[in-house]
Amino acid sequence: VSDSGTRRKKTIAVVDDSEVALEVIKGELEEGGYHILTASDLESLTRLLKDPQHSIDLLLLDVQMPEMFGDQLGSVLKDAVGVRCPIHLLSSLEPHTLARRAERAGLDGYICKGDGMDALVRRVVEILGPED
Amino acid sequence: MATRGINPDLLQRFRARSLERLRQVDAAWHSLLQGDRSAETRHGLRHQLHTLKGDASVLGFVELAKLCGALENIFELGEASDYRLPESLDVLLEMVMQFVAMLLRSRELASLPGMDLEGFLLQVGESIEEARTRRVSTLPPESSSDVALKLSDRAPEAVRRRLSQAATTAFIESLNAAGESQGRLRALWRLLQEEAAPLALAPLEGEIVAHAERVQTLAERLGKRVTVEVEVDDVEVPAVVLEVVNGALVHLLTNAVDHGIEAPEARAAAGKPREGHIGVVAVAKRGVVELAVSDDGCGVDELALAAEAERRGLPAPTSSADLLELLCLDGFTTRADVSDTSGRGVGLGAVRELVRGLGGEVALEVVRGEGTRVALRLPLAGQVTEVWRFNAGGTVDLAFESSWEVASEPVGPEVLALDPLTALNLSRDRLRAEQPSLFVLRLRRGAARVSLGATTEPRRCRAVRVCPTSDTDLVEVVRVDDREVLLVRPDVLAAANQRIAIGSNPLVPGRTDDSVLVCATVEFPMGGERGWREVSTAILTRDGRAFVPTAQRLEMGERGSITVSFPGLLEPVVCNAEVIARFARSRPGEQAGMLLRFQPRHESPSLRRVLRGVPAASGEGSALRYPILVAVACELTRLGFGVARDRLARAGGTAIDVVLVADAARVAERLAGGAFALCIVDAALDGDRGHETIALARDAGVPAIAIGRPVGDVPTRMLDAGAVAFLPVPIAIHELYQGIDRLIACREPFAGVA
Repeated sequence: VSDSGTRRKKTIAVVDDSEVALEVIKGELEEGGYHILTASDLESLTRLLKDPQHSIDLLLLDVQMPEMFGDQLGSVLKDAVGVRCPIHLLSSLEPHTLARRAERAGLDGYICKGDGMDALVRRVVEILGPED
Repeated sequence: MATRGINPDLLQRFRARSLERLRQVDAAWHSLLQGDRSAETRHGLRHQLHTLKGDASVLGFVELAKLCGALENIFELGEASDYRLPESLDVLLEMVMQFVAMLLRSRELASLPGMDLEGFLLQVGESIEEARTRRVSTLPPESSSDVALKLSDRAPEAVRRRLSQAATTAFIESLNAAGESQGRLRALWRLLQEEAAPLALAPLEGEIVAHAERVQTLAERLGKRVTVEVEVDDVEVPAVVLEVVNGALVHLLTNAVDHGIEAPEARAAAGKPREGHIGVVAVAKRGVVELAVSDDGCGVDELALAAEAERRGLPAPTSSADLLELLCLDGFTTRADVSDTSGRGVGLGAVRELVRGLGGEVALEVVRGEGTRVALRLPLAGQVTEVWRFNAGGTVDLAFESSWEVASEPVGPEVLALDPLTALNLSRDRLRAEQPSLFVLRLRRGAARVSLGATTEPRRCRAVRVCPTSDTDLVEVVRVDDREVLLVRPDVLAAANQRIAIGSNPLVPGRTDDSVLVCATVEFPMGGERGWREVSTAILTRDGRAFVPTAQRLEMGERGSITVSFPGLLEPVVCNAEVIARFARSRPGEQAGMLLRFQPRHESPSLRRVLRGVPAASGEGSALRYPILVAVACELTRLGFGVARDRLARAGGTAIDVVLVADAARVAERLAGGAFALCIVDAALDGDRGHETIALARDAGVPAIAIGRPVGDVPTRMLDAGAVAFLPVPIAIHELYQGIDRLIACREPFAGVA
């Protein structure tokens, strides 16, 4: 919700079961000026989605997570939960595998962890537009 | 990429967690090789490795990520060939694992200069491709030399190291193997060792000529005139010998020019030619190189040396041997001034140390006023090293270098020591199995302290280094009295068996605490058929205590045995610094443990067997419906099962009807209300009481599949309650449904669940 006059920072929710990965990704994207929410499991993601304070502009999902595959989770969020923002897979899987999984699950795209953090930020800027 | 700019705390956590992940990957892989085919082991391996790779990627450690990718490929091939990898790949796998561990422990988390990582990865890639195309369970012996030949195209020293490591791995594997494969691995060891040996050879002559040229330049700078005569046999020597020759020549030639050869005027006055003469002679005979450096200079000033000896309260020298002893003393010099070339008197002692390190000796001949001759005798058979040899209950004796101080003491109930055989993954000699560790060897070198279990006290002896590995490698095969002995590097061994480096205290990040020995995965004997039981991560302290992160109770029994009780061990096996800290504070001095190897032991029957009990569809085919009851705790997962059901239904022709519930009460209601073909029950149902729902289904005669995270005793608990299979999450739900559907409705063979 944007206050009159001040523009709301765009919010990205990142779901990854590795705390190390979450911390690094959060740091990089925050430097890019985005507001970052993180969830390391389904329970914390559920809490995050149910919190009316949050309005999420982009969801980044790791694929290999202990409870559910990210692509599967993505389709649940779109089909059953009714998430409308773009959902991208974020994984160290091979690009062609990621592309296929994202497409099959009906998600909006994918980002390769292996391309590095600079590429991640660039890709996010492409999706959401720059943030100061 | 360097570690600059990364938060040190984060880096430390990454290192610690990744090393733990690697240990789990290693344990899972060995379990799979030993016949474990459980889904949780396979899944655990994949997940840990994938997370390690992902973390390395986001932190920018590209090399690590690439190595993890190589491991993934090898494991994938292993899975496809029912874990019968060609030996060449097996050896490479071991090397990649070691490489990953080494990078994780290195300061910059990157390879050091001189490591040809790209070349190595290329080699791994080629070997994988080759194995993929051949896909044979065992390769004929010549294939191992193919690998060696390919390797030898690359940078020699890196190759020699890799070959030595591979040879060592083959030797160790041969110790664990039996029958035919033992013979094959022994042959592989000899082959690789022989392949590595010539790579370590280098011609002596070129090096010596280079030194001679350098000394001419030095003489000119000092205003002296000198001719250097070199007479070297055409001989190749091991790299280690060449290194010593280089070190020795730097000292001996500099000394000869600076101290020995007089200035032209002084020489003329003494009736000598104005130009001095230095001779370097190297003769190779019967496994020994004799290298002599002689000059026609002023010799050694014996009177001045005697005076200096007296000043220091030492006896006056009476022979060349005495002179040599004096000259080898640290800081011993007869010169008042110290030039920038030499004169500190440091050097000859160091040269002698180097030469002795090879099992050689130094001799000195001095004729006052007429010159000096220093002769080195260097054995070529291999580097000789002093070691402590002992046995730890295995078929092969172990040793460690004599640079370690050692004290042995009888093993006591509360003594904590690393079992070297377990740490090396070596099997115990059945004949000696009755003898557990009887001694604890307390090793110390500098700040490092390691305690090892042993069945004999250590004896000091000389060992020949037949296949040198580097100081960072875990082990090396040496020969003592013509028998192979495993030289272990205790510091590396200890480091490989701990998550956090010695001295760093995981209880308080960033603080070092000498009392903390290791933070490691610990197993305790449980008795009964399961034998050792993996508990979880624990912190072991120097005074023999172990701190474990969950509410387990440990009791010391007779003969040092320990029993563990679990008043509700539910948490995943993860080291949580906060919990440990709390635990350590609340219960100091209560726990004791042993450091042993992690070994997962869950078994799970196949889904196919489960569904054999489900009635097949009759002639009406898909008109028959098979209701499946799915009970899942997590809302999102439940939605996942719902979405997959809807997709399957939209695709049409399905024979299964899925009913979703969220707790045991609803399961009971549904089971009472109608027949189900199958139940799928989440272990986390009703606060980790999924086993009760399994029992409910079992009592109603409905086969039940358990799903959940394969941590702790969760799979066992579910299987014990009557689950016909345990499927670890994440599950490809859509594929699971399709599989069940095909199996029920079409009687197609069930291929398993991804």
